[in-house]
Amino acid sequence: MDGSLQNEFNKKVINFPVGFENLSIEDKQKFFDEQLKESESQQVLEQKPSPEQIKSAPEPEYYSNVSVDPELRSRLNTFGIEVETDMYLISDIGVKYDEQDRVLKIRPRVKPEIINNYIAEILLPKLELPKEPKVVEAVVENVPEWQKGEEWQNFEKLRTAKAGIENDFKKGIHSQEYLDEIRANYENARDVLAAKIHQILNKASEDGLILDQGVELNSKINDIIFDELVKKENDEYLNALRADRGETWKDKAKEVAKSTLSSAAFKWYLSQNKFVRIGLTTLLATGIGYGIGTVAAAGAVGYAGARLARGVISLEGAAVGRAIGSKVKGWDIETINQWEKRKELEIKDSGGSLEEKSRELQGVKEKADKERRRRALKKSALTIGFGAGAGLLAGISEHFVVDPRGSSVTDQINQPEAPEVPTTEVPQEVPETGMAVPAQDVPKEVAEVLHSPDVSEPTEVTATPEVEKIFADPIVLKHEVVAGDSTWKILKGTLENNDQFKGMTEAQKTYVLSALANKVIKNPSGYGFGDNGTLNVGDQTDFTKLFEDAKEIKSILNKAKQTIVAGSPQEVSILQNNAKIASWVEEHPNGSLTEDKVSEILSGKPKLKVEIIDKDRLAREGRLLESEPESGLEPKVVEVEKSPDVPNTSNIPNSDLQKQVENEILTAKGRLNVLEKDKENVEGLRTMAGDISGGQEVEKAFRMAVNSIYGKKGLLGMGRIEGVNTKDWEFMAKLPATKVVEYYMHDSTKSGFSPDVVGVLSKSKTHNALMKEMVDLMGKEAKGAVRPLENENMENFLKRLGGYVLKTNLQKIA
Amino acid sequence: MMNDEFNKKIAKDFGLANMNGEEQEKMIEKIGNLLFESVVERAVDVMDESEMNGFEDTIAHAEGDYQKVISFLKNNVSGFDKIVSEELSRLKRATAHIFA
Repeated sequence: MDGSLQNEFNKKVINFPVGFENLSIEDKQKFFDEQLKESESQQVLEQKPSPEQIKSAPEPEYYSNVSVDPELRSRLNTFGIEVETDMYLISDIGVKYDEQDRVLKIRPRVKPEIINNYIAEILLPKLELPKEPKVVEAVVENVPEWQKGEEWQNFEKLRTAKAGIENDFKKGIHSQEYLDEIRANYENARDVLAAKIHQILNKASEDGLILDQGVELNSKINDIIFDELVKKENDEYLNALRADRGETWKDKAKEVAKSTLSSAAFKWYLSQNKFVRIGLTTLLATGIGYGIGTVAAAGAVGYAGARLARGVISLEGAAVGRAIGSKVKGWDIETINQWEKRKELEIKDSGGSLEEKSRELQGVKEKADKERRRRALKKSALTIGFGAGAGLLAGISEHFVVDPRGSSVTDQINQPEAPEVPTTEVPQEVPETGMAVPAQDVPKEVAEVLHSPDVSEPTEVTATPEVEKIFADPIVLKHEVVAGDSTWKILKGTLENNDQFKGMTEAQKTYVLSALANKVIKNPSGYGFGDNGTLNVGDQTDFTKLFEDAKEIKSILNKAKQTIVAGSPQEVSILQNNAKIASWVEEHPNGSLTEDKVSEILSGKPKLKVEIIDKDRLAREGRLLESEPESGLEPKVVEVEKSPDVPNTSNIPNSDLQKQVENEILTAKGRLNVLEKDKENVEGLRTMAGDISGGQEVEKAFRMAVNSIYGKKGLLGMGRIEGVNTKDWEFMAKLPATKVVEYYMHDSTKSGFSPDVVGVLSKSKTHNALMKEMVDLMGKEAKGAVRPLENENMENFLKRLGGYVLKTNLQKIA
Repeated sequence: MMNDEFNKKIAKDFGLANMNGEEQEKMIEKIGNLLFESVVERAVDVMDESEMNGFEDTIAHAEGDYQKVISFLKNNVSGFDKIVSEELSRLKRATAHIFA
């Protein structure tokens, strides 16, 4: 067969392979299919337009290139991809990307939308390189100096840990001791960093690195400290609260709702103007946090720098001490006793000096006593605290909650500052603020009150810039003992270098010397004396420590001046005591003055054997206390302070100097004991007996109670009248109590009052308020045990009634 | 007299005694912010649903009447006084001895 053949499909000459006739039918078919294909291609090629035709072609679809969107083309070019027309392209949609050659091939006459869609939707997305990770240049902010280093990092960790631990503590996970330790560590670290911030910024100011100076510098420091230390701590605290909320609540919806609500509330708060916010803070702090009175509705009040309107805080009833007005829940005296014991042990084991320890112990004791009283009063359903109404009961109870020495704000407001009743009180050694108790050391119920916000944490004692000096030359505080010296003499000689002391009377000087000698007695070795207060010729005494607290010394000196006035009973008493002792010593040159002997000398009679009762046990046992005879209660049981240890006189060598010293010390102790026993004259050493039974205390309480009903507050302090000085009270006070009770409790027509009196009583709201209180006291509290006596006026009856109620309630608690 | 007493007391308790009046006021405002925030967080924690609704309603209509807000919390949140007292104590600890 001829290899070439013009077949009938086209005019192409087909070259048959040699042996074609021997191929199978299938192979022959394959051959012909291939030929056909080739033939078709040839036809396309033959149909390819000439260049002239291309130029003149009106239809862009002939040339796929022009159908590509310019922007898309540009994007393709960025990838180095060209676009070509390929007439031989076999593709469903007429477009195909040759990855190898990086060419986009397009069959002619493919519709533009197909091309562009393919490019935009398929090709380019594939080609787009993944976004390169942003090279986030570490914006190295100017890290403050105090944040550099491990110290700050450790502090932040500690802060976070503390917040979590505090939260866990509430759930009972951690112990109090652990929490205390963490807190202490945190606060130490925080204080160190605060000091560091101060130092750094001060230095920066000195070096001219920052422009702030003086007041502006301090302001800047405070702002930074607030943000770095206070706000961040608060944030951690809140984070722990919220995190705990998330862990403990299974109901996530509720959790979210609560978070949303608190955020909304805070948002509302922040949206208010400054004065509203300050007013709100004031309301929270003063109205609730410090337990002061009821808060009447008022407009926004400013705080610092602005006056609180008198009407905002009503002190009606004077019924608010320091308690916050929460319900009494299981408070018990035993808890306080345990707390007191624990604190005592801590103090004893602490590293302070004996003087410091004894001061702290005194403070703890006072606080515990006060809390025992308060709990007793609370448990007896006397209302104290926020929102408590006016009334005799509240007035009386408030008095006993508040320090009768007048440290409560309400006390200051309701009673103008009157001079203290002159006493021979031994000035107490505890500073006015007493020992503040960190809440975490105290059981919950106690903590609320013991750590009431008005009792400040003990602040670090830092000397004020201008410490008032007691002595111009401190050399006078040191002395070398010579023959004839005694404690008293050395102390007196030292004090004569102080102008104020120098100008005092003998009685006043004795008062001051007694107070200071007492301090020496408690820690004789601290001043260069022997352990028993002994002195030898040549010894070096040093009273520097005794006078280091200038404020306290001043207080003693001032008190002597104010209370031991010329001609006063106190002066007379002191001078008589001095004379008695001097006289006895003269009469008994070889006698030994023991403590008991001094007491005997000064009391002028053989010493009675009295039971010396521990003040604490008194509170725990709720012993029946000294009472006024007319109340019909049991006669006196004299409570005395445990006297300090008396040195064993028998072993001291019988030298003149030693004897004199010993006598001086014992005399001072004896004076002290007499002062303590003599409650008629002594206001100072508070025992529960003294508080309740002492006539003076009941009187004070009574006046406060009457003031709560009859007192006139005036306006901004002007026009204020104490209750007992008002005409209304004067009228009531003199009325026969039996008749008043008859009038209010029984048949008013049979009271025996004149029509005029009846007229006044019936119309007066104030009198009616008093009567209501009285009826409550007589019935609910006294349970009918106290009735008015014949010829007893209202004033005396109410005093007796109030005193009885308090005493019996204290008994109940015990 | 009472205002001076409170001023001194607050300044002393929060370690602001060495600041001038203006600075004290500014700091009290800041502390007040923290106080309110934490009081509300704790108060909300103990609210039940109806109390939450009531509180939400109160805030929505309070505008500047903060007394209303506080009054609501006092009357509806159990132990609110204690919460305030505790938060005040906490903030006092947080600010003790650190300011210039």
